[in-house]
Amino acid sequence: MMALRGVWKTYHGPAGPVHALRGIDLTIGQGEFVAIMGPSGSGKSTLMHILGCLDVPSRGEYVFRGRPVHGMSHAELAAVRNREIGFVFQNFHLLPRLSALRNVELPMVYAGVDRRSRRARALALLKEMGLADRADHLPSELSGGQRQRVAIARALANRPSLILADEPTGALDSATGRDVLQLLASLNREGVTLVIITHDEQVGRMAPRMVRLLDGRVVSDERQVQGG
Amino acid sequence: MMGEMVRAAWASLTAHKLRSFLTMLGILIGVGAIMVIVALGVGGQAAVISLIESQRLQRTIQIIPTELVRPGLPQPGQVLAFVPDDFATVRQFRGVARVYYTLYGEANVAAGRHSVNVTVEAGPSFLPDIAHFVVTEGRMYTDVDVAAHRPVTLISQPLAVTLFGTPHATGRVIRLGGHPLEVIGVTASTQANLLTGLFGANAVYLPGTTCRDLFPWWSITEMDVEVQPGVDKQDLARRIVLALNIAHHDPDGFADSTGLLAGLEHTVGAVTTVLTLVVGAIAGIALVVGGVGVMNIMLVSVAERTQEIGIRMALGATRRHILQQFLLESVIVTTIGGGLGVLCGAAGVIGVRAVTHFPAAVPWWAAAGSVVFSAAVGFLSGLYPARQAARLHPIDAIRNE
Ligand SMILES: Nc1ncnc2c1ncn2[C@@H]1O[C@H](COP(=O)(O)OP(=O)(O)O)[C@@H](O)[C@H]1O
Ligand SMILES: [Mg+2]
Repeated sequence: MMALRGVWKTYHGPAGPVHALRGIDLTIGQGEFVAIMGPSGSGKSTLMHILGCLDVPSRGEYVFRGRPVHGMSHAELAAVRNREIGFVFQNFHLLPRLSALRNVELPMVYAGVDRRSRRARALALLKEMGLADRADHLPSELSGGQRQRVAIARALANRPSLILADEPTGALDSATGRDVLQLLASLNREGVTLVIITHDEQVGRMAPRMVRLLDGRVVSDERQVQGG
Repeated sequence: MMGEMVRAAWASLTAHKLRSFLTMLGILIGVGAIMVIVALGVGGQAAVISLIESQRLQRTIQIIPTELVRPGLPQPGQVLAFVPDDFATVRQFRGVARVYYTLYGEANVAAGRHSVNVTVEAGPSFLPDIAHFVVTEGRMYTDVDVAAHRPVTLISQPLAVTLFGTPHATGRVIRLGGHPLEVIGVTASTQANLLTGLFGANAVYLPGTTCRDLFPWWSITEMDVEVQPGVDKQDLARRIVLALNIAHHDPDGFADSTGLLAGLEHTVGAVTTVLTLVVGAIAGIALVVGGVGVMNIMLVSVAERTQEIGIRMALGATRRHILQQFLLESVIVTTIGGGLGVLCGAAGVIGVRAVTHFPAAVPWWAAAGSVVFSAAVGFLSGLYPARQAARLHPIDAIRNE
């Protein structure tokens, strides 16, 4: 489904070039559940941005569902993010002035879904997340776990084939974090490809496949017998 | 999609109400000022044109000594005056309904111990129509009074108050230049205009014949010829002027001032056009300044909202979506500012009318044009900030963790 070949990402900071990724080769198949682990600064987020078509490689090739990303226009990248990918961030990244419902509607707004259908779908998703009665709340009126579930509902809005989660439990207490992970894992069982970035070993062990990064390189890529 | 974008723009504007209001203030003031100035210009033009085209003037030829309209100050000794024979001559012309004159002068008025200098206006019994006043008490003098040289007069309300301490002065006696006159009525000016309203403040009106008796040395410098319906006014005027000039042995002695008025109409049109251009330029500058303010605030807003922009891009917003969103905000701000400016300007115009009776009016095209122009200012000044927003890189916005 996704293939990275010899991917480099170089940032040009004031202190000279920083190589965040140094030749990544990685292939992720349809329906997989992959944990990407590594210490801080190892390039996890950079990798996720490239996988999520938020950024393009400086060097090397990324093919998403058979289409090379480096040939795509800004509008095409936006369309891929909109239809194919759902993002879940550590800090939720909900729009603070929009209600939970309208946050969930947002990807459908950009997909051109009409208002009535988008309302209905957003409500159904919030209901699935157990937040039916929180639809009109602002993010600031919700707990961390509730916010992350709103973010997951939003990620699912356009029925993406891939969910990318960057430290989705990083801002949550461990019990809430476990619930969120269970939720994401259950989505994967329904067929969505899931990539979770984490530096938490316990989280990593939930995934059937674990990729370890260090200094912008893949240092291990293991398939494991599923734990919990 | 569009509805959602308008709602989003509205939400972000109402989230910073004071800032949004201050942003639109420049546009509001600019448009409001334009409204008032245009309303005054249009009202003034309408007043002049209605004066020029008023019924009586349409049917009247006004003849005056040419010296009065030559450039520079008239030389008192050289100004020709009409003599009684002139009126007899003109009355003979076919197509002439009636001929009359109006005398203007200044004289001292006394009553009891009070004494003031006033404007004297002496003319036919229909003088109120020409001089724009109404009789509020008593009566106007009649053609009989005029024919009989009766010592009667009407005085303006302010003068009545000055002389008698009350506006009710009918039946009293005043002394005009030492001669006693019976006050048969009191008048009030109907002149809407501030300037001409002032002339009527202290005024005395009396029959032209009586005035000639009291002040035989006042020369008649205006002859009004009322024309019968269906008569070629210009041709008649030309022939009358010719006859008068021959009688006075001066080929350039008198002129038809209604002809001059027609020229004035042109001049007023030209002046108004220039005025409109100047006002337009000033308005343009005001709106450009307002637009720069809008651009500045929009740039601040873009800088503040990088994260929002990044999130929207991650969720699938294209550069075009972001561009449209910020342009929409900017256009909404300036359009509302322009709309409020029109309302404030209209309120100002209503105020001007209430205070001065000046027929100022906001034409619909100026109101609509201002709102459209405000929207255009919003579009132009929003363009650069919106492009800045659209060019942001999604990860730069999301990364600040
Ligand atoms: N925009 C940027 N400019 C310069 N350096 C960057 C930028 N983004 C990331 N980096 C650098 O790239 C490296 C990898 O960063 P990141 O992918 O965020 O790591 P992780 O998510 O694993 O902590 C770090 O050294 C970081 O400082
Ligand atoms: Mg990171």
